[in-house]
Amino acid sequence: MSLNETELIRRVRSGDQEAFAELVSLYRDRIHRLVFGLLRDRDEAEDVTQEVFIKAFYRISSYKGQSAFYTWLYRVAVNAATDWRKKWWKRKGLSLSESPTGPEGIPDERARPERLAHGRELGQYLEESLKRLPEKYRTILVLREFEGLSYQEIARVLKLRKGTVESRLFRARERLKSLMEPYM
Amino acid sequence: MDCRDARRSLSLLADERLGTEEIGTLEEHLGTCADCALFARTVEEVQSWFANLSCPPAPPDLAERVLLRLGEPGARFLALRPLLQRTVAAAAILFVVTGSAALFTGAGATPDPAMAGSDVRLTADGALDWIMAEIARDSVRIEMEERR
Repeated sequence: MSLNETELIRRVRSGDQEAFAELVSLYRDRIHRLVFGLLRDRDEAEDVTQEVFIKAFYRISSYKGQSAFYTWLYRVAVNAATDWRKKWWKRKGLSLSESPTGPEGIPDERARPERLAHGRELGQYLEESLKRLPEKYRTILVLREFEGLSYQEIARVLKLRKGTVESRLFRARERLKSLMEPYM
Repeated sequence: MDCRDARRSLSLLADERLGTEEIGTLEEHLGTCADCALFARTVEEVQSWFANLSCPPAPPDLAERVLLRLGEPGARFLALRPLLQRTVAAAAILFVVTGSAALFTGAGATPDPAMAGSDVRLTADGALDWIMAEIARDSVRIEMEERR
């Protein structure tokens, strides 16, 4: 952690909003990218990114400085995105293991390739499949493949053992692959 | 090298933390093990798919928007609400568990109300001690993992 960042955090702890604005500017892009990766919706990502920073401001006293600040901030972001999705699913009367287009693992007829417009990009197929993955698998894949975090960093963000990160990533990739198969 | 080691090595390779010699051993294993070779291909495939994902830029005025919202009444409560909800839920669980434990141990059937009260308190204290010990153990584990 840079001296500048340590100083900023110290000032934020004493309620300095200007210092906080600097901290937001430092991490704005990374947190927005992570939240967008998790939610896959532009408007929701903007709202949740704001929430992440508001939560960070009020909870900064819980950051003990034992790990990198961004690890702590990532954790706040992952939790905020998960809470947001839970609320969204609750409003729709669904659980986190379901999706609006059908339960995970069972391809929805409407999403099958022959039903999809020709020329849709691989990225769009991936979007479809990611939305169908259970929350814990989508989160770990986004942290690893979209954010490029190391296994150790993921373990810190999600508070998991490194071995659990490895096995969960293994299952997540397998599930994603099986969801992508109809599109390939 | 067995399959378990191979998959661990693939994780290390993805983190660019695998030496040249270890890469050679891994390649040797992948050449003879169809399961691990398939696993390695899946890792590569998923990586290539994610390279296709785009992300819109963050709003440039995000810091201003956040500061505006910090000034709104109730912002602090909204930010801390999930924590409060979890605390209330934990307290409710503790209450149910200790209440059930008191009934199970017969504390509720004790004719002397003063004695029943003390039994319930003892059970609640025990549960609280257990939770505190679990939290302490968890903190030590996380700290050790971070040091590693």
